[in-house]
Amino acid sequence: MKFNIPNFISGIIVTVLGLFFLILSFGIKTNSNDIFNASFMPKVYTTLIILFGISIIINSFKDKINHQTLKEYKGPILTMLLVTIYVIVIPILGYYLSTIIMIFAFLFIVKFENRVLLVLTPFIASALIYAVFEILLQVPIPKGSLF
Amino acid sequence: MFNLKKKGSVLLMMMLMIVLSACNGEGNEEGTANGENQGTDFPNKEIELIVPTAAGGGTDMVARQLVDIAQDDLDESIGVMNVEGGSGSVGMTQAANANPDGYTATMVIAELAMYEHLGTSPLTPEDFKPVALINYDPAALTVPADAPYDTVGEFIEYAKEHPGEVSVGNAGPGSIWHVAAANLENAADIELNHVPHEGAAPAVTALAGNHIDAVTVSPAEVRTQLDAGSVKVLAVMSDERHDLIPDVPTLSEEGIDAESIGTWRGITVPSETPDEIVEILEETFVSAAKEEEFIDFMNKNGLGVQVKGSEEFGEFMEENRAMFGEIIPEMGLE
Amino acid sequence: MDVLMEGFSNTLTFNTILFIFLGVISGIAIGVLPGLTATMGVALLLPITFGMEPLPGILLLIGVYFGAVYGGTITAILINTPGTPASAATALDGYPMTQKGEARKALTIATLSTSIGGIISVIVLILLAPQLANFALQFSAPETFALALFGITIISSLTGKSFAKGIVAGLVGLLIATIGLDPIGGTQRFTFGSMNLNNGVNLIPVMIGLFAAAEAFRSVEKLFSKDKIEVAIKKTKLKWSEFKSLITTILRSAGIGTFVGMIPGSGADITAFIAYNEAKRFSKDKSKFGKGEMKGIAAPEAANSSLTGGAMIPMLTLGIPGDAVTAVLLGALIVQGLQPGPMLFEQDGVLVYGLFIGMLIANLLILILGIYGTRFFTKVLLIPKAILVPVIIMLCAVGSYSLGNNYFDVIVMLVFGIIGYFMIKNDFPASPLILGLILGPIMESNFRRALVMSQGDFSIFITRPITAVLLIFAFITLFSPLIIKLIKKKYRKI
Repeated sequence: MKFNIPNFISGIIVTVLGLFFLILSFGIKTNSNDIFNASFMPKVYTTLIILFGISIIINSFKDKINHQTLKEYKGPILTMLLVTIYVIVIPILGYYLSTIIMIFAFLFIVKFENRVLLVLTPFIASALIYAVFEILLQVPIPKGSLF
Repeated sequence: MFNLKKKGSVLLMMMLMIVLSACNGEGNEEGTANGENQGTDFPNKEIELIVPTAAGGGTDMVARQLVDIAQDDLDESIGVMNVEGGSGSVGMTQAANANPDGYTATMVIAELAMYEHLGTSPLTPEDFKPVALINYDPAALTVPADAPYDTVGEFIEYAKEHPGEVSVGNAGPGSIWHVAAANLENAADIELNHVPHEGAAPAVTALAGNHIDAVTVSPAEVRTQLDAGSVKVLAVMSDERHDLIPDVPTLSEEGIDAESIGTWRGITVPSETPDEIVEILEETFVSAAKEEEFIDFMNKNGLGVQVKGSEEFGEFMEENRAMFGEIIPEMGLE
Repeated sequence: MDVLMEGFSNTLTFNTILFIFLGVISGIAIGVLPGLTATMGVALLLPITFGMEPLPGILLLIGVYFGAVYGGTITAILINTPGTPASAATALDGYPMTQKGEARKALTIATLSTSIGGIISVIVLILLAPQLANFALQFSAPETFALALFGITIISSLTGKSFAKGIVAGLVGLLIATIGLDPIGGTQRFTFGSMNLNNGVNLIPVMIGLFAAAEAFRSVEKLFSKDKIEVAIKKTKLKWSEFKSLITTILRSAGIGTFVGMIPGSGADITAFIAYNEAKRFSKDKSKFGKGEMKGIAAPEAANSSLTGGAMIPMLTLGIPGDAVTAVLLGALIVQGLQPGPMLFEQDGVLVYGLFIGMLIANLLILILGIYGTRFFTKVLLIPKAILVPVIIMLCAVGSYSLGNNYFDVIVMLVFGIIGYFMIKNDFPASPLILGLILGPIMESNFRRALVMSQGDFSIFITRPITAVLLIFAFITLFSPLIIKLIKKKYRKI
């Protein structure tokens, strides 16, 4: 049977999530005896999500076959991993140090040619952020537990 | 060879930056371990005042104005940091858990005495040591200017004849103004229709448009409508008349036996803060709040200045807490 | 008339104009940074104005606001990351134009539309303020509900290729908006015991993640593929004839912006989408929208700047702010000792007219800066993607954090960045999600509030004229694409 894989998968994910939250909606505790209480809208939304999710699944059988390869996901997924590590590390090492490391790591992964820029960019960027956020706007920057 | 040199210099620069950012971070760590030994040379660096609401709002403006005046007295600067969320609970929780060295103070709001009763948060006034009360704004029963009642008594009569129909707007379920309206209900034995809004301002807007029958918010918040002549205030829920509306009687003057309810703002520090430091802060903020510049600012904005020292403020918070403990459970909130 | 002239002369001083200029420049800088919104910029600079004279002080803030929205538009068009929610709709057609190499043209259209829109709304403000103010008061819960519902139905026109996917995105946005405490009763919904989730999911980190971070992830695809695709920046300028074709759109959108701006609680974000939707509805070739249609830029831009003029009307005449920014401005006015309300025009008329003139100047400045700056702005596209991507990521992180000093927002940003990437890859549009997130709470809370006010009586939605009209609009918007399809099918059969 031929069908569009990505659409099929997204359809399934949507439907399952919809079902999950619909079940959760029934757990919303409220004192009100009203029909239109706090759990009403969530139930409406999740039910509709399930219906449309099913529609996506059904349509995936009618859709054109997808010829995308998984290769083009490589870069973005690597980047997402890097950024996830970055977000985890900021509360430990502090914003500036984490950012410098992150930019270095990214430019390294991408095999950035220009060595001078490779080194300068993290520092210039951090310096600018410091100037604009901490000095000009007086908005705090995330501090880490170590730094 | 060439590559090694480049990598070496990169490494060197990285180390330099690590050192630099460490210095930046360390500057804020100094002195926090020495909480007990600060004593007489407090303060010797910048103090941080946490404001649990958004920048630009009423509480924020009061805090910034107070800080402006207080820091001249102290010789050290005081920086305001807004940490909003959870009707103030996020900011105040962070403040309660801060280092008890006197370098982190908080502007607390009336909600602090309400959280446990509302189930919002386990935070209570006991998580802090009171420094000073700065402001108090009582609830003011306000109705459209052309309403068929001119006194609280007439309003109550009307409400008794139309149980559950008179709509009273408030700033949100469980907000201080909702509690104030419930307080009135209890004291006058009437049944009102509470209409929650996303803050006091939208509720006042609704009143001005004649979409609801009344609001019980602070005088400052109805002031523009009052001056425009579109609303009238029937009574204030406090022991004394309010400076902004000196012709408006208090509930007790009108023969209604109800607690004084209003919103308030004060300064506190974490509960473990040493007393000597609390005293220094108390002196600073109390005198700042009594300065003419500050009082002028508050008057301009229609906000009530009520100053209490550390001990009195503590008692005040406990009283409020007990009062809310009685009213809130009756309100049938979800 | 003399009051107007006096206000004119007061404003045309070097000092005041300097502050407007500084405001606009700071605003643009703030707007360009993802995470710093126009409202935040105004709130952050508010304390500075306390020590200033009223006129330059307020105008500084107004300059910041207009500048910030414009800055947000620049990034929306150039790198598909709207710097402020008000510019979210502009990215829909702005970025495709950049991809076609027509970045300069897109920026020019945006600049012209935004400044003209702003100027028109100020003129309306000057001429009609007191009369229009009463309209704002007519709006209560039922009307606001109907407006929000209308806004939500606009999602149906933003679905792109797949109707179902677009609707799902919108529903997901609506669902996410329910996380936290319910606005009427205070019940906890989907909070999983987390204090952070109790406060709900903030719009801005979601927007930053969905637009900025996701887009950054997507740019990385090309970095890893060995083909270097250069996006040529064509020197195509906007032709006069093309501009003429946009005039109706600009006028209509400015009208929408001013009008909707007057309604307390409406923001630039929704208004931009409404204008976009109407522009699409009135255009003959709807399929071009979303692929680089000029009107798709002109409409939201004219609307998001004219909104402020509209919002100032109830703010100045009744003391009721039309949106978040005017709420901050209201505070600024009060601190300066001014009393917004019917008395304001009588007591401080000179100042008020001075403010209006100042707003005109601010828009003119944007026009000038924009036209001359376009060349400079497009240079941003020349920065190697490899540098741009991590810099955007770091800005996303700090921007999300600076919202409320809560690290949770940074995590939200990351989560939606990842979700956003997969949404892009699978043709799930992001705008419906944002619309749902913004409008969901407004719609639900006002629906339930209306019922509380009417004590359960549903006729309140039909008997009130404005409500009824808006509900009909909503119905038409939602079902007309479907009805048109059905009619077309019948046509083919005949």
